[in-house]
Amino acid sequence: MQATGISDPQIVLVPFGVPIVVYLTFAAIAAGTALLAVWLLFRGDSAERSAGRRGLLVATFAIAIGGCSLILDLEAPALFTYILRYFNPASMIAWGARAITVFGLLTAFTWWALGRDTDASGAPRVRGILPVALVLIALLSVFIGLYPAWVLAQSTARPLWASPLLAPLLLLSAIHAGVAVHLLGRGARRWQGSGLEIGLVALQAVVLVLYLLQIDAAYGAAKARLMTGSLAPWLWGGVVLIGWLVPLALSRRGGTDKGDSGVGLAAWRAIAILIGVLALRAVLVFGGQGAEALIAAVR
Amino acid sequence: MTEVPWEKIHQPGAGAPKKRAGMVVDLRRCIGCHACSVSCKTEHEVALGSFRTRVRYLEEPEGNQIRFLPLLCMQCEDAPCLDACPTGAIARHADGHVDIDRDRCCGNKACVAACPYQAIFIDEGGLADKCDFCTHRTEVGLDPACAAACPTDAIRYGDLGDADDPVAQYVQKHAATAFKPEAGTRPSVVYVGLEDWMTDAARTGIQVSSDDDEIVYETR
Repeated sequence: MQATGISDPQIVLVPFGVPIVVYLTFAAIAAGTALLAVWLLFRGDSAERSAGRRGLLVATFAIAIGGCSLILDLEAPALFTYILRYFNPASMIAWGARAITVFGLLTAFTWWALGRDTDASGAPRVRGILPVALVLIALLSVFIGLYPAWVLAQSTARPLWASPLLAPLLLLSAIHAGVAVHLLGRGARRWQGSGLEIGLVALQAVVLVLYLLQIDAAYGAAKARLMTGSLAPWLWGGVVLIGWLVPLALSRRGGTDKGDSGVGLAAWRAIAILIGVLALRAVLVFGGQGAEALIAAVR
Repeated sequence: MTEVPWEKIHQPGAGAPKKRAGMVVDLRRCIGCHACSVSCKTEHEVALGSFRTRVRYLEEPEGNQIRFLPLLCMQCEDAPCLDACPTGAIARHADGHVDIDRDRCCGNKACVAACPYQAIFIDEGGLADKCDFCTHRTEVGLDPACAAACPTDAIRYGDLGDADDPVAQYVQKHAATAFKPEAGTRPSVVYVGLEDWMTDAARTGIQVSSDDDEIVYETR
């Protein structure tokens, strides 16, 4: 736990710090990427199925990186096995730890299994037990996209986290992260111009506005910190401008895999989306902990 | 260190199980001497910079008075830390007080984030720690160290579940109230003389910390 002094002569205790933001970001990337990979593997053509398989590998690495970040966040990292050895069913963290473990193993196994059964074009075929595995991955993806909101809500001392709107916001953002990864992996042709990205941004915007509106007036100072205070650049600049508006603007200028310039644009769009995903989680984690922690934590 | 001869101290009948172990802190009596926090640190060898029991110095919004607010784990009946802990390291004893099993704690700080009272901290070993009502003392019939050390009898430990208990009667007679009642945790530590302004003031009350060798303020 960090004790950090900032511009005011204040000490800020930050139980959930930067490693948690990193974890939440990579968990979102893993969940969204895997969810869309499952879609591609079930519904896509041969090129999309190959992209879907690659997406499962990305999801495996993303959840592994996120898990490492969680372990590093422990004050006693060597004790990380306790979270799996002992189980408190009332704790969402306990469920989440098991979910990300199973998710990581399952995505790795499915990626491997898909590589062993390919058609003439080299694309994976989804048959045998693989459809079941993919459905499980999809369910776990949704859970991993949602459960951080429930973890935050269990901290009843943090009023900004006790909102049912955080769950849809985080899930939508995770799917958005998945779109970004598939843009990088050139597996998102299906969604090019489909309105998925616009829809995701519009829904996130609606939920975010509702979330900000429903913050109790009693916590006006915390709300002001988000809207106009130290977290405002992260919210308006990171989430809204870089994470939502820049990718949409770039998407109007070109495709995902239409030649080199298209690939370059797609990469910039993806990076911008992922910055927005990170910024959203930073805003929620640090904003929820009440003080001007973000500045202090990143110094 | 010499072992305390508990068997010689123990009084027959003392330390009998309580229905609901609790504490009342009479702020009208508190003189801010820190005897409670010092005795607590001594009793549990709490590391420099960390506190199981703290005393906030609160400045009255209008007037020059300083008031004192001892804070510790509230041993809540609806303790958020219990549900937040993924390993089940936090458990409730038969008398209702909440304790941390250090052999199960993984130090993930979920309890720290969940506690509305900032009563839980991470110790030097990376494990969660907090007030346990001095279980080792109360089970042999002694008062918790803070209650025993308080020179003005402002801190009283007893059975809030027993109407005949003097502490329960004190709570009833003086209409003791909870700190941060909006948290809805039904704390077993209650206060006499707690005024509304104190809750807000406690967020910015002075607390000495060794982290940077300065007097610092906490806000949350």
